[in-house]
Amino acid sequence: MLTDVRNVSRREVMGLGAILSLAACSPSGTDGTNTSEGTESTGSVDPDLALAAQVAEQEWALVAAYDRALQAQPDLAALLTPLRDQHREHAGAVGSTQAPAAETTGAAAPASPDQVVAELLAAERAAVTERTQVCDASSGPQFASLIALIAASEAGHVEYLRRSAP
Amino acid sequence: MSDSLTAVIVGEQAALYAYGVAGPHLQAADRDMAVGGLAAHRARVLVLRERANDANEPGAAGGYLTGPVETPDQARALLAGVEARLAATYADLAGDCSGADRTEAVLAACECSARAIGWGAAPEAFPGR
Repeated sequence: MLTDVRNVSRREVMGLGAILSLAACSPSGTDGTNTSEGTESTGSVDPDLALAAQVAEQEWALVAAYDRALQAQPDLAALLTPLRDQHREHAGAVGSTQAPAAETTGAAAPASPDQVVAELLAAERAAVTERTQVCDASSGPQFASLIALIAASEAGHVEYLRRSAP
Repeated sequence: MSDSLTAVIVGEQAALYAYGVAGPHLQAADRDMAVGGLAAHRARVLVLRERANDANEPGAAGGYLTGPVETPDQARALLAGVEARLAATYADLAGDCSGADRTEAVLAACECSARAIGWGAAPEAFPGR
């Protein structure tokens, strides 16, 4: 091995999600009404829970965006499916293992492979910015590290899509 | 000096070493990416050393075991692995600091992760873990 830098296991990463999910009672909400950010009423509530819910909502929106892209361009499955699944892992890591009920928004306009990838690229770039903001605002060191690593993953997605663009 | 800051400095020094080992074996098409990566790591480690400002700051190790690096593919794989692990190390640092330092650590983690992909790493949900 080249470095002896700390090698935290994947299980430990996922463990944080488990901790958060126990405390969070499914932050993405099952009744379709997401709790508005920053309006927790009880003083003892972990302020990172609202941020976790926000990240989960955005991760599921990315999953939905990839699903729409895959529907429009099934030939891109090999490129896009692993990335979509990683957004599911991100949502799980912040305590949300179940996608919120899908909002049916009419049939998407048919898009070319170029358009599909360009839209996902823009969404991934926005995700990196959003994760960075959430990381800045978070309190718990473990939670901040997790969000930083998710940001890094999504920056990797940007580079991967950019290089693999059809 | 926090453990995570030490870990990042150690990781940056390892990355500089890795670019030195990999460089001669890379193909010409990868030259710009190698020069860019090397410059980025040099700049980061200078800033971090200044921030650490500590007599106990770790010196660079005399050498590292890298496995065989004799082909372009092996050179790229070495850099992909180093960059991905360093992304995770920066994510740890982000948790241990705040304000502008945290923002900078997240940015560095993102840059390392993007470079890992550039060197051929597969996308990961949790890079370097």
